[in-house]
Amino acid sequence: MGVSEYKTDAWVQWCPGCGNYGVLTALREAVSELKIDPKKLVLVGGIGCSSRIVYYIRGSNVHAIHGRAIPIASGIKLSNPELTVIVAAGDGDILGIGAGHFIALGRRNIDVKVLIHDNAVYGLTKGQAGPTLPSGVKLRAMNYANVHEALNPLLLAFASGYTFIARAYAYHVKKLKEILLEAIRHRGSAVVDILQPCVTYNDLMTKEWFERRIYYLKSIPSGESILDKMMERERIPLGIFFRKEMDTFKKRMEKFDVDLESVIRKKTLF
Amino acid sequence: MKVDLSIAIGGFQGGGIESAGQIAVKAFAIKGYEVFGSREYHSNIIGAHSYYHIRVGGKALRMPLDALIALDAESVFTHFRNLRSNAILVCDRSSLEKKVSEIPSMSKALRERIERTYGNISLNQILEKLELRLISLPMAELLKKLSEAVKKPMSSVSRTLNVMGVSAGLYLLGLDESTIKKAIERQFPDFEINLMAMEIAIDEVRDKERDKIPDGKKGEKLVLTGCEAVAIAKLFSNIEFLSFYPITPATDEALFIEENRGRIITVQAEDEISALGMALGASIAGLRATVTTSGPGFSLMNEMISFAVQAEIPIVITLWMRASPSTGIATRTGQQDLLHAIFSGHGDAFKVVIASGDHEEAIEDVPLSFKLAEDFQIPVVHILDKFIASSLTSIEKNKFTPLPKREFSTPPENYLRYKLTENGVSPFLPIGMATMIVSSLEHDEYGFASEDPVIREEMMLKRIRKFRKLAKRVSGNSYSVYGEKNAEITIISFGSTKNAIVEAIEISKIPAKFLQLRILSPFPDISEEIDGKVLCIESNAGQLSFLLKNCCRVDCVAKKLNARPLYVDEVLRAIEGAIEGRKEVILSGGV
Repeated sequence: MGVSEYKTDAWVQWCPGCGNYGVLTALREAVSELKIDPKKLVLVGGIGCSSRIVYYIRGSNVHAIHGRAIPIASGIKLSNPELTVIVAAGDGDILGIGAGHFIALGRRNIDVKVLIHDNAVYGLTKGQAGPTLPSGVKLRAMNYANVHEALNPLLLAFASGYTFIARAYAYHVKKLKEILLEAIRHRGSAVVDILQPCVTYNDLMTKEWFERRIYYLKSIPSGESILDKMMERERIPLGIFFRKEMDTFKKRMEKFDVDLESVIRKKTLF
Repeated sequence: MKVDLSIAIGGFQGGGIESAGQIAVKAFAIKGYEVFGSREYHSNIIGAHSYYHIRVGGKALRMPLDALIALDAESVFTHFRNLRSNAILVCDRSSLEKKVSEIPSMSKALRERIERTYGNISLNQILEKLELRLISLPMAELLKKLSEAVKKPMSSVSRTLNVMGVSAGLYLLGLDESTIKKAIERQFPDFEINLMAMEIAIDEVRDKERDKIPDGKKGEKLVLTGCEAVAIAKLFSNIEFLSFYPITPATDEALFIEENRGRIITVQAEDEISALGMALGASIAGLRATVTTSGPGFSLMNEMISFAVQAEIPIVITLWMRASPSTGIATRTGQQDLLHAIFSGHGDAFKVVIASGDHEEAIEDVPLSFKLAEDFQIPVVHILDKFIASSLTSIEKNKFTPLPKREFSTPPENYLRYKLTENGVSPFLPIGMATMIVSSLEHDEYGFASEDPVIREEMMLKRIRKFRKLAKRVSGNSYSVYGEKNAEITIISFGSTKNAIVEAIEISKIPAKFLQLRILSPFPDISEEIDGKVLCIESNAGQLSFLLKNCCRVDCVAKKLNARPLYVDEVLRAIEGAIEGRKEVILSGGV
């Protein structure tokens, strides 16, 4: 199916130059390349600028509530395994208010893909510090420098049990699309941490700031170098960090028919 | 001869009180009697006082007690003031010397109350003051007998103490040995040792004076707790998805479904927010989904409830109320979440709230909840409480009715998830069957976010129309009327207070009627039903009366605030208080 099949007539309301455009283009191309029937494509957004992507890609989508896209997506995927279920939300949504659900999804290995639109700020509420903003940094709209340490999404994903962990950069649309393809093809919980500038509120982590630091992994690391690569700070590696095939949650649950008669018999006295 | 008994079985938590209580309930059910057993326990795993209160020949609890089976001294100290004269007391002989001050597990407040009246008194001294049929069993000796008979150490047979106590008690109350034996066989998979314990205990009291109980109505019956009744009703309702987070007392319902789940997807979530989120996801995908929780968990679910209203997602939330606010008393009952349930979720969050008065109503209300949730694409909060959750009762077979699975029509060319219709209900298709957006934002008919004032108003009016239509549908069944036509007093209540009130108005000298509210949102108009004075009875600080004041006068509010169930005799006191002109009566029954 052509990319145009996945377009909607909603006006895209992001600021000019926003990293979300890169994700939108790459994701449309990826689902088009995989020929996913729009009816079987389920994007679940949280709340925030990036989550509005559910209005811009034609699918059978859900715009959920702040921080809770993952539980809703999990319920959908468990109920109808033939759907492709993708969560798209910001770093504040997934790693701040929704962090508990992010961890739980990794533990369950449900076949849901999580795209973290990681710009280190709360954009739609106008520029507060997000969970991935380094400490000591004072951005344009903040009252004072960040007093929280930054969270490392990859390490948290690894500790939580995600079976596919990748990092990408929103302006490298082609590379991003390749990583998204791999994530969607993966069977199990997948996370792609997508670094992206917020052109309006993040005046530190700009396009230039990222592009001075990022580089691509030559191959998927193994052994101790997985953690080393995830923890690297001066330069920022991109690509797939970890991938493993494991039983998904659904497979872990045995199935049998409900025997109502035996339930009643067990509880009957005579 | 009408058999009417009120019996308590007490001991320490972990000492098999629940099993003893269940044996008693089953024994009377086997004998053919209507029987109801309420379980009272501490939030504790081992050591604290726990008891079963059993009513035979009725569905409500009443005081005083006709018998007390006390497996330890604390049980006698806790319950002796509720014994009628000549009641049967079965206890352990070795505990008779015990003084109030010698029981470390007893709550300080209770010890002080006893000491204030009686001083640091021993059990023997208390029993001297009462007229009772005291049967003190030499428990250590009986256990030794059993230990020798089965050739097992004392430590391994001591767990049969509960069976010994309850067997002796039931025998003295007039149940024959074969009935008790049958009940024990139903209770334990490994009943051999327990049957021997029963025999040894009954041998000990064989020559004592016994009551007589004729056979009741024979026939197969189910014996279920409230949690089991709701769980089985959900299985019959063809649920396809259940998610939950462990919480007292809802966990018992969830675990029963999980145990018998078959193809039902059951998930223990990371919290109640996720539990409801996953269930909503399942419902969006077309499955019949439900969650079960209690007050604190329901608090966490609030934002999701508002989402379900806005996005028009069918869901049934079972809310087992318990004594709150906050963690309150997690293992005790209350009706404090009525307003919380009705007003849960921010915004104009229209929803259905159904309250069941007992196990049988709960069984009817489960399929009704799913029906309303799905027909109107709306959250339904089914409220019950801890009293119903853990009470065990006999129920006629064939009370459960199956509910057919959810069905969906063929998708039209241009499907509109939120199509504007005359009655406000848009055709529901699960995601995966058409493109759409299920949205928490205000949206147009397709689901696209919209802040347009005309669309906003249309969507608000759509949801209002839908709720009006629903109100019309349920208006005939939203409350039940019991009692006399020309009453001097009208009692209004909801939920688990039902059977105590129904029984009380039957024996009340003052002609009374009872309006039991079954559906509390949409709130029914009962103004035409009022006769005489209005007495509102509820286990909270006055939440129902707050609502009632919108449609009728409330002369008196009787409040149960001590986290214990309502007793028949308390209802009579409340009626007297209201007739005397009191505006408020605090009901303090129960220990």
